[in-house]
Order: sequence, then structure tokens, then C-alpha cells
Amino acid sequence: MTAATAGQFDEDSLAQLHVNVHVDGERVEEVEEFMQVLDGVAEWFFEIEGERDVALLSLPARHQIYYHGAAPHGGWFHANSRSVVFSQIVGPAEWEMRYTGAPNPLLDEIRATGALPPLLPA
Amino acid sequence: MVRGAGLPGFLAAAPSLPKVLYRGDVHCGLQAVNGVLRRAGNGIAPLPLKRVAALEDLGDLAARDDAEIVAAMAVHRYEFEGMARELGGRELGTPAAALSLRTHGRSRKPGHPGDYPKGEDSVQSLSSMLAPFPKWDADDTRISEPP
Repeated sequence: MTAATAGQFDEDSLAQLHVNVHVDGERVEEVEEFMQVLDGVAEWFFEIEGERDVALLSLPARHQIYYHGAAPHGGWFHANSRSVVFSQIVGPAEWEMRYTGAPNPLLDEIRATGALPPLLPA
Repeated sequence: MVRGAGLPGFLAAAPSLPKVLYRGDVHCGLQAVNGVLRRAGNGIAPLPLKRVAALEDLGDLAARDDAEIVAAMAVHRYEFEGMARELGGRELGTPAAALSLRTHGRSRKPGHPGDYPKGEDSVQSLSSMLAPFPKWDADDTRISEPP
């Protein structure tokens, strides 16, 4: 994510809470994601099952995250995002990104205040 | 932990450390962040030394194309189980032997947003990089080590 691309990114498309699953009748399979932050900082919303609270993670370069698709989450890429993230999604060959429709009060607060992380030094 | 720091406190905290904003409190550092993430079966860790070395060998990422980054940094099939266990404290939802490494996601918006700004080329590269690791027997016990 660079200065040129960050402003074009459809922020809502990933920031709205969603799950990544394959549904086959009553059987729900989740995909799993392994993400490495190679440069910059990546930000990520997630919800803890059974709780209505949404948390926001900030993960700097040279860190990795594992998360499973059934856990509601959302990547936050915004105008100040500067990062190189390498993400691998593994599991069922076909899967679907489903927006949960659950509120994300942190995203609402961000929108209301215009708050963004400061730009990293170039 | 900084109690009640909220979003302003979270945004002001050092960007060089993992941090999480949860219920208005800001948790900084690996252990504190994992204390929150693990509640959802997720987890973080520093990149292993071999990946840090690979990253340093890549040098300026802006000068590298997707295929080069994938070739250097891809996690291989035999590593996923251990990572899920170590980072998330859970087993993979799909047994490692049955994992599809070339997946296709759909969303209600055209194209998967996670593809942006990457495209099919990087998926192709990843797919060719990761096959065919390793050999498995019928009960998913690995019977050969990857090269």
C-alpha cells in the first residue's frame, strides 16, 4: 500500500466485519489466513466470539499474524496506510467472504473523528 | 496496558510495537497483544529468523516484483499446522494434507477486495511455488520432509 494506492482503496470493502468460510449445506468450513507484514504497519479489526466488542490491532513490519476465517475480522487500509503485506489464505479451494452486518463502533468512531494513524516517516 | 486511552491513545502509541485497542484500553507488546488475540483463536509472532533473513536479502521491496517476494517469503504447506498451533493455540480447520493452497474467494462486491492491488499473476506464482510439498500417508502423517 503506497501513497498512490492508499487513497484509491475501497476502505469499507475490507474494514466491515466479515468471515471467510465455505458453506456446504449445514457444514461450514473456514479458511485460514497467514499474513506477514514485510514493511510499514498493518491494522486489523477483530471481534471476539460471544463479545460484542471490536478490537483494533496494529502490527508493525517483521511480524506475522494467524487468524481463522470464522472469526469476524476486517482489514483497515486507509489513506495513511503504508505497508507491504504478504497474505496467504489456505483451506477449502472455494470460499466466500461474508459480511456479518455487525456494527463496528471503532470504525464508526474513526469516521466520526477523522482519526488516522500518523504517516510513517518515509 | 494504558487504561481508558481509547482511540486517541491507541493512535499515539509507538507504531513500532504490536498494539491492540480493546474495550478502551491499549495493550502494547507481544505478550499483551496475544493475551487479547488468543481469546478469538488468533495470534501474532515476530517473523522467524529465516524469514527475516529472506526479507533482508530482498532489500528494497519497491524494486521487487510479486513473484520475487512470493518466492522468498511464502509459507509452505508443512509449516501451516505448526503456525496455527503456535500463534493461535488451535488446530487448522482443514488438515494440512487437504489444504488447498490456491483458493478462490468471492464477495458480494465484484472481485475479492483482498486481491487489490494484486492480481492473478501473484496467485499463479504462489501456486507454482508451493506444489508439491510434502508427501503424506493416509492418516496425514508426513512421510517425507520437504526439500
